[in-house]
Amino acid sequence: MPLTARGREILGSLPGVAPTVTTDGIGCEIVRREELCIGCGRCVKVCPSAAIAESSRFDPAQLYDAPAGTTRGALGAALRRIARHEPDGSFEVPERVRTFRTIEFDRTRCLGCGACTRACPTGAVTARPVNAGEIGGFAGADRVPCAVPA
Amino acid sequence: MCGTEGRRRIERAVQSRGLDHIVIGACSRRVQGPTFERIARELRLGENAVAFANLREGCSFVHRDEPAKAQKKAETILAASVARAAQQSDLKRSRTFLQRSAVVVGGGIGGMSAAEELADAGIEVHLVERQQSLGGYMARLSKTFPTEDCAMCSLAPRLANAATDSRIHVHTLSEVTAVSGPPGELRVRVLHRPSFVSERCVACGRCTSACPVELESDFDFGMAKRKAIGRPFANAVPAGFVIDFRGEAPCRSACPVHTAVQGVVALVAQGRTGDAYELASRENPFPSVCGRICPHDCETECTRGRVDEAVAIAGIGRFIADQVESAKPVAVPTAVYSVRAAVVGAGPAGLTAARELARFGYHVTVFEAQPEAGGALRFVIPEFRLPRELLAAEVARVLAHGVELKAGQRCGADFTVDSLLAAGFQAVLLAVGLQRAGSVPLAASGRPGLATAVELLRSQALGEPIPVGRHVVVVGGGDDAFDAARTCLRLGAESATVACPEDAAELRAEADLVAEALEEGVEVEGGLSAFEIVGAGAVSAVRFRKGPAGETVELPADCVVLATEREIDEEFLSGAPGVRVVAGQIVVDRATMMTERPGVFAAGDAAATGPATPIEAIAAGRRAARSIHNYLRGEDWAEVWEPARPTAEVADADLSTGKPEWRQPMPVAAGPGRRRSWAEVRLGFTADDAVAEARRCVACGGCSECRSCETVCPAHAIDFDQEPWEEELTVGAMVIATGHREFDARRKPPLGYGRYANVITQSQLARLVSASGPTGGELRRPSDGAVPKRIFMLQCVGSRDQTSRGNTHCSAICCLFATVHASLIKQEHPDCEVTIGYTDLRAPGKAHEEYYRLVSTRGVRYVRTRFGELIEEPDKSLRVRFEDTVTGTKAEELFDLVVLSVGLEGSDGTTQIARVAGLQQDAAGFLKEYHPKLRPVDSQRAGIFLAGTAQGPKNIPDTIAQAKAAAARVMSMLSSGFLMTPAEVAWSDPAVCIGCGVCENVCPQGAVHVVDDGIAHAVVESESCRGCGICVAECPSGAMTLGGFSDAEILAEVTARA
Amino acid sequence: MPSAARTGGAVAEPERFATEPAADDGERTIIGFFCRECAYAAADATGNARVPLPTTVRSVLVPCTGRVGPLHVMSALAEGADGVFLAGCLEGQCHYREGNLSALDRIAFVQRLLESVGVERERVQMFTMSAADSPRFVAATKRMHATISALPRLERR
Repeated sequence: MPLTARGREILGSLPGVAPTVTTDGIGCEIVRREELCIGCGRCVKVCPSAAIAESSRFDPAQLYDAPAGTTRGALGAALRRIARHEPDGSFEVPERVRTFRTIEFDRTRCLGCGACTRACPTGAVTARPVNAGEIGGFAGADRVPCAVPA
Repeated sequence: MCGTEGRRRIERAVQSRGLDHIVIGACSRRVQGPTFERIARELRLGENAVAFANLREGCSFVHRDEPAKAQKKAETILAASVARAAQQSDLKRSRTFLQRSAVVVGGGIGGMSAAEELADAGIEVHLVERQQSLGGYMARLSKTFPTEDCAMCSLAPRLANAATDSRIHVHTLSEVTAVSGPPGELRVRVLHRPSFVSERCVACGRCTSACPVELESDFDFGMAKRKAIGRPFANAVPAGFVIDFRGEAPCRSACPVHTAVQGVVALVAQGRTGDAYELASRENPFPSVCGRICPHDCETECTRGRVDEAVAIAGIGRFIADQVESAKPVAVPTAVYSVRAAVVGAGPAGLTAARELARFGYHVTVFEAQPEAGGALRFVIPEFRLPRELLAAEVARVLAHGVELKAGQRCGADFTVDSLLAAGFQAVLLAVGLQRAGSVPLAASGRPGLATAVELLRSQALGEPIPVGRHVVVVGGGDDAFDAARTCLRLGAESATVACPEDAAELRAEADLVAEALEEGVEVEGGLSAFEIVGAGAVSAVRFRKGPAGETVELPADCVVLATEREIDEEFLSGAPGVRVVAGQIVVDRATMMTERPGVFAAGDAAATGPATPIEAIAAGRRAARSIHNYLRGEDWAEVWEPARPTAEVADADLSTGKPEWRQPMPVAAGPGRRRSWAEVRLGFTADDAVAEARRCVACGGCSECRSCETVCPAHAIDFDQEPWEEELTVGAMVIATGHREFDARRKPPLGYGRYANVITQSQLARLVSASGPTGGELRRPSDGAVPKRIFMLQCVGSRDQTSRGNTHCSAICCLFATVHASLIKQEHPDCEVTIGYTDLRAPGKAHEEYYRLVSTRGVRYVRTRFGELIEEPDKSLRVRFEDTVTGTKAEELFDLVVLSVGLEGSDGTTQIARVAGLQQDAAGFLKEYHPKLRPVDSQRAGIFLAGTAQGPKNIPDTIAQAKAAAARVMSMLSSGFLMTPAEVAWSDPAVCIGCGVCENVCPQGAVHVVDDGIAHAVVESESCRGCGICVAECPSGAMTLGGFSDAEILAEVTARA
Repeated sequence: MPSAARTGGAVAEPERFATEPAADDGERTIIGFFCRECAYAAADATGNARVPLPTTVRSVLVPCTGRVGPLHVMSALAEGADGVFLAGCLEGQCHYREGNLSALDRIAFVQRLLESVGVERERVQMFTMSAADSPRFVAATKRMHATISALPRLERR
């Protein structure tokens, strides 16, 4: 599925990127794994359509599944050791705590350019190839085509 | 453990067992940490090889009654330190080169002492002082305790030294605006303010005598006045004079012609009316306009208006204008260029331009259609507002500049623009004004009994006969309408009514004019529109529509005067191709005032501004002349729009709170009889009234830019073009010696300071008894100059104060300050009774107690006091009620003079440098030292040291001692030539760093930057890093770590302690 | 001497020092992170004045409370502390500009984190003081001790 005109325009302006527009109906979908997120904010900075934003809240469940050997993983492991019950949802984060914020992803604004995938250092954002048949109608679909090669 | 025996043990253990880490279980790391770290370094264990267990202050000292638990805790703490030690790894240190130079901020005795010491050690010193001279507080004292040495005598050699030592660079009128960089290479930005006097000044003092502006002398703590140019004391360093320019006075900023209004007023206040006339007419050839017909925006902006009432600048201006006959004759300029310029129209714009062009050196000819010059001033403004003779005298002065006047010549008829250019004029200025009445309905023109205001006023000015009838209605509401109405009365009409569209309460015309008109019997009918003349043949009435309902109103009249807006008469356009008129205005380029025809310019009512006041026409004429000058020279030699400096601002707190002084009212001729007289209605100030009024000026601009100094300076040293400039100095260290300020006794209203004339501070008394002071050392009380016979000194004002209106600390010097003054007074006036009302007599310094005892034997009365009340008597003496707390008796005594011993606080300069250099101040504004006992001269920032009263209240010898200690610290820091950066700095692993930039945002020192050398990653400037670790805690990837406080080390300690 | 070992991106597992575990005598354990400039100085001054303090508190020196992150606080709780407090400079007086303000926000964050899993938020607190203010340090210590003593020991898996 070809890119939207706007998506093609933006991709063309990113340095070192050659848009591969395929005509055989293969596209990509952005997939996020919040437990791998370290809160660095690079995806927010590079997204050209403001589809990704830093929220003012944090979901503690992200810590539990963070990989061992990382700061968040160690924090999650420590939290699990003293927790009395499962985390009961997200909460507001004080202003000066910048790297513990849940990232919000607005699919309807996503262009499928894949810049976030390239920027993410931990693989919390990846692109998943989908078949043309899965995509169906473009408008209102909850999967969006992406130009990152499969 | 920290002694030699302990050291030997450590050495033996390390060497015999090949150890690489040491754990010390002893006192707090903050106390002996450096000792053991040095041992480890000397044993070649490197950096970060020692872990500390605080078994003393943190354990045994605080758990003395729980020995068993304390023992267990001690074991845990030790275990934790061992765990930490296992994680500690070696850290690198690097060398930074040190600048062998220093900045000393503050040029008082402290700053100068530090500077001298540093210079003697071979360190280059920049001494930065915000005032115009070095000397600080000490220069203002009389004699100092306990030796009664004269302060200036002790200070003068230091001043001379600072002035002549080539290793000390003195920067006065300078302030530090930014400090950045690591110790050893501090980058200090210094702002230099202009003195407006160059180095050619020889301090002869002629400028000070010539300066008309009197300001309160800061140096004398407000006990005397000084001029706006000068120097505070004879030994000032640098010796040159300085102009205290605080910004343009608001009156000058408001004036369209930018007259140096404050200067004119100051000259009048000094009785120098001739000089005042010169100054008033410097920009404006028609000073008669000021005070008579100008709307005086200067008065609206006058700072005095915030105190009681604005200075009557218009009245003063009028007084000066009347002196035209006795003004100095015009200095005729020599024509420098053989270039001729033509001005069409001899009105305010045209004549002003002509004078300016003549001063530039051109041959100027002015063409005027009417038989006389003057324009609107002569032919629109009636003579009871602006006397003809006065205007004629001013016109004559303009022509005396060598300007040729050709009257009776109409542009477009007798000559044209083309013909002027053909005749050899290289520039033509069209200042033709607005000569026609506007929007006269066709049905009305030419009818008998009907006139326009323009024609009426012009005819009267030309002396032509005018039939006005008996009942006149003037249609229109501007100034012209009222001028026309009053003129008609004087021409014999019985009644005159102004019928205008505006509401009677919201007239466009100037309020003063309307008031005068009403006094003369002019009637006003407002809210009228859509007039219609009634009567076939002769006029019988005028019909109007009134109000929203449109009811008809008829005013009987046999003469109707139409006072509509004046319009341009396009007659001049014929023979002027290329010049266009659009919407009633000549089209000109806004910047150059040139029309679309090269060499042809336009100014005044007819061009760009639209109908405006005469003063604005004058301003336009000046601008046009400068633009023409640029055009004729082919280059921009003059700024068309005169550059203005920022306007002076006076804080409300600095405005006097004394009794209000109302302005002189302008005397006016009595009402009813006026209506037949052509004499001026406003009578003007007498010389005495003008001087008294001028004295009300608060001199908010400081220097008024009158340029009297420039005129008299024999060395041509005055330079008004100086600008502030900044430079960046790179130095190794800084010493802050910014001094103190006094507690403001107005914060204690019951003491009457600022309200009662004879309540002063010790500093003010110091000036009174000082031989170089305002009274030459004669003790005189402020209210009447009498020698006081009974003096009361109140101690601890604003100090040792538990309320929120004072400071809690003791200011250390005030008891002795009062004592030395009491001693000096008793020596000069043995029969003067001096009472010192103290709380506790504090005399801790060397020889202070002995001095106090000596003085108390000389008849000075010391009373341990609780203060009650202070009341001013009618003769300005003071009745003081107090309690003698030793005997427990209450007393009420009368004194001639009360002296308050106010405490010390951090100065404004201290607050500023604290903000700039990131230093902390305590509640009273003094700078915080790194450790009050163990490091009293170090600030909290490495490389910056403190000295003098900026750090806390102290006397002169202590200031000097501390200053030299600060200098010693600088010397020891800079002596090795290089500095080892601390080991405990942050470091980012480029292999892990993702370049997100969070560290750069949070670093308080600005020591982290994300760089992109192929990969974006963070780099820490280790010389600037202070090892706080905030970046490490924020780092989301774990790339950042802090030497000595890595996560591994901290977690090891935490885990084992939990 | 081992050179700087940087295990990229990972947190080194802290080594446990082998002592026998303390008998559970009901005594709580509180870890205090004290900043070098103010709180640790106040603590030393308190020690010098021989003011008696509860034995529950174990101090850890940090250069600035801004060095302490949620990981350190949470690890302390996970490894045996019943309570953790930070002591730093007064607001507006941090020697490193605003490190203490960052620490205050992080403590608030940890408190909310604890609350979200059912742990009492007052187990983690922060106090501010100046270096000369020994009484304030004593008050903070005693208050923390009282708070934690009133709570049950923190259980951990």
